[in-house]
Amino acid sequence: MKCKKCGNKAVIRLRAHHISLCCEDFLSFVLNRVQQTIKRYKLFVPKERIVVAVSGGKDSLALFDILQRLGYPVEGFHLDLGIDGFSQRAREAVEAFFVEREAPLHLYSLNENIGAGVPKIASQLRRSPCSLCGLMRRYIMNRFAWEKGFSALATGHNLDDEGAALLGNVTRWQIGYLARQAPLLPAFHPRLVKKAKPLALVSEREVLAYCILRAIAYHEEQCPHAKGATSRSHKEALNLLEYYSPGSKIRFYQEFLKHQGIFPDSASQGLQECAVCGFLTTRERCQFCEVLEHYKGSPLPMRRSEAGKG
Amino acid sequence: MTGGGLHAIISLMIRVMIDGKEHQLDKKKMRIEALLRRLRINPETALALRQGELLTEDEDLREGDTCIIVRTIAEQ
Repeated sequence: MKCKKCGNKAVIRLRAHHISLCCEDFLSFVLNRVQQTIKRYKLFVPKERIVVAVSGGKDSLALFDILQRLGYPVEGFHLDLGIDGFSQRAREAVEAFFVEREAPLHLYSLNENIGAGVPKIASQLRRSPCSLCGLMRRYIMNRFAWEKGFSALATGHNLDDEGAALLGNVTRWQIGYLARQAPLLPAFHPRLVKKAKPLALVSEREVLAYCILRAIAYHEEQCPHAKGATSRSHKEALNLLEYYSPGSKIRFYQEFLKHQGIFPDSASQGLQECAVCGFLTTRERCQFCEVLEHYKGSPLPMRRSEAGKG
Repeated sequence: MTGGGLHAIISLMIRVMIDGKEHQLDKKKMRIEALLRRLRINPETALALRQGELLTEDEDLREGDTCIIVRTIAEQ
């Protein structure tokens, strides 16, 4: 198979785009794709301070690499979730990546700051580690980005992640989540920074190929708590569609974005300061403070609803 | 059988590494596309490598080759 751009030997075939590309042209293709996404959805403005949430997995490390190459002033933020073994190996991958690039990295460890990791807190509160992890990650990342004066928080969600979340939200008709699922979630309050997903139009397979070709040493392991996650079956379903009808994933997501305005969004309504920490919540105390107080023995009631997606 | 003889037999096979396991295929030649089909892997969810280089689905593996299949999401 030959590269459609230069005629050299191709290393990857992208059926959704009807092209095969050599190493050099594929790497340029990914950079262009991300740059187009940033421009089309107005993710960043020139010279703004961007923090990238880096888990150590392929998506977040690829995103950091791409934004750096595109000339954005990026810094990394890694949250050590305190999951035995898994979190240590993730942190090692992140630290090695940032040392090699001499890039700024901020670390926050749940064990060091709260005294316990996600599994221990989840076990004590008898709730799902995944919903607790989502809640804590969102709170800590939002608060960190705002307190440190960043204007954008970038995450490595790729097309497969976005497609799977969309399929999940559609099959359950989660109108509120559908209204907010986009490559850009604007800062709808002065204490929130905008959230951007520059890889939203790059497939998971393309991100994987990018990491291999750039020799990015990412953390390959899957979280031990992710077994049986519904997002996985949604990804498999979409990739089956993609196999029989190339381009299905990107059409599903992009056509949704064109019509997204039909879903009413009420996320910014009723925001107030948490009575404990002062950060934003729709209630008297935010869920993060409730988790902490409950974990430390306070009789505060816990709300059992699942954390939001998308 | 001598060590050299065993090595000669193994090198005549196609070795495939996937999900931390090794498979040996007693074939002289096999196309990546056919290999993925045989392993029941959707090509949208994996990449094939030989000696660290990515392979397109129309590439042939030959006896003595070692191919690594990398999935987009690790198997559970």
